[in-house]
Amino acid sequence: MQRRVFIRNIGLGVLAGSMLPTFGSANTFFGSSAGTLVNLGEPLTQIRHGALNLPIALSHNQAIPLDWLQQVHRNIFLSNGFQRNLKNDLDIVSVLLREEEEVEAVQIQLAESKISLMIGEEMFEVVGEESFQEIPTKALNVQFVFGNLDAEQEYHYTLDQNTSVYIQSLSGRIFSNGFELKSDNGLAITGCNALKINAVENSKVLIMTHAG
Amino acid sequence: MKKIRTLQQILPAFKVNMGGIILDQALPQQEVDQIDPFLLVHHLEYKYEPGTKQQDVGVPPHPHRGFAPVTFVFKGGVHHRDSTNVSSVVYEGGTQWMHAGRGIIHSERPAKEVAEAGETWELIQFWINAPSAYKMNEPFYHALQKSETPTVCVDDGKVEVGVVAGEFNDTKGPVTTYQGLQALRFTFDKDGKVEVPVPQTYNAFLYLLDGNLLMNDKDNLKAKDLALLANDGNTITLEAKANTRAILLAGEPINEQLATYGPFVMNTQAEIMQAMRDYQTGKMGVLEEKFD
Repeated sequence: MQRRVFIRNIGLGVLAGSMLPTFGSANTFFGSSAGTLVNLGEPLTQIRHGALNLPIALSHNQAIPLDWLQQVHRNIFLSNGFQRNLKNDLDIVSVLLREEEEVEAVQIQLAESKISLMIGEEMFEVVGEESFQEIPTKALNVQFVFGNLDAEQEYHYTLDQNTSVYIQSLSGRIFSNGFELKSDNGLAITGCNALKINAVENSKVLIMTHAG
Repeated sequence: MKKIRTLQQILPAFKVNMGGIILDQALPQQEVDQIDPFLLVHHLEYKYEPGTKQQDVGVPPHPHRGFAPVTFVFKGGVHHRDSTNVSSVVYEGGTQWMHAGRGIIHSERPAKEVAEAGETWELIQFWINAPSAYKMNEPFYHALQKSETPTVCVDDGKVEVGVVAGEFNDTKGPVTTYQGLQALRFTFDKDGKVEVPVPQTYNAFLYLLDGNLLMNDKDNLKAKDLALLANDGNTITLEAKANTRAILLAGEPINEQLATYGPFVMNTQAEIMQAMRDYQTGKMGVLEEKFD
């Protein structure tokens, strides 16, 4: 398997260091569309022999109102099989994408110091402190972006016209387009041209975008 | 030449909660993550309420890759269904031996009549790691009822030994394995005695479902103990101080890097991620359970 270390910072519209005093004040400025909050539940811890409540293969989580995004679920596989170990457990967000008859599953491993993302047979590692890092390979026309956000900062992320977006906090707490996001939910938005994200805490964020 | 294998350590099983199913876990433990090639020993005993529906209980469909989950049935019956279209019930005294290979989805539920009649379900499930060369083989399932399990009686019938894999007293077990293995099921009447050859190169342990055994004339083993044997000999002796049921598992160690997470057992974390990917995209098949 090919591994690539990715440290590119796309820096689109980042206003690092700005301290806008209120949340939600720029919604109209960015003309964000309505979003749908998707309740995912807390990440599942799986003991050895754990395969509890895994979504059925190829199924579509009907709570996600995006045709191209079928499943998002997070499992923490306990490394010793029965007790939590923050350093050694395997924390994976599993994403199932669909484009017409084609499906692709993307796995995102969350470790202390880095995020690894598997698309096909390629593995990307996201390291460094840049605010937004874009994965160079798409999966079924879906762009993956990771946010590394500082507490009490506001971030603006510009998109192409009429993009649909899914955003989820991997750690920490954020507000995006007026919705509060933590580790147990995500936000699906259609017809979007920008994202406004207010990080309440230091946060790591997953953003998936799809044209149209 | 016979040489006694001594006791290395006793590991009492402890309770774990597997998604609402409370069972005794003898392996893994805090101090012992695996007894290569064995990765897990779960002991479950549960009595159902009369009128229980099979589809509401047991373990629903879930995937596996890279190892063999094996179930010894002690009470009731276990209904196995899988994505290769197998639907099989094994009853008391029998064995379900599955090699997950490159991937399979299966469910494990009490037999319909066991659940509906409110009977007791008792089983041990243990996991045997597969060498990396075989992890992506075609999956297979082998059902062995009690009547199909070679059985040896010793000590005037006070000890009954079911030979599932490997050998005991020139009797061979019928299960095909990827590595040297010995899997024996014991039923002792009180005072029954037996001498058991166990290859010195095999990692080995005993687990007692109940009762009390004296091993090698000195080590006291009680219910729900896992007795890990040292690799310093080739024989153990067992004497029952009470009616006892036990299993002995022994296997040639694989000595490979291990990545065991949830339902998948591979060699690297990247391979675990590949397993999840393949499960999500349907490459391990699909299981639609059909209930009467």
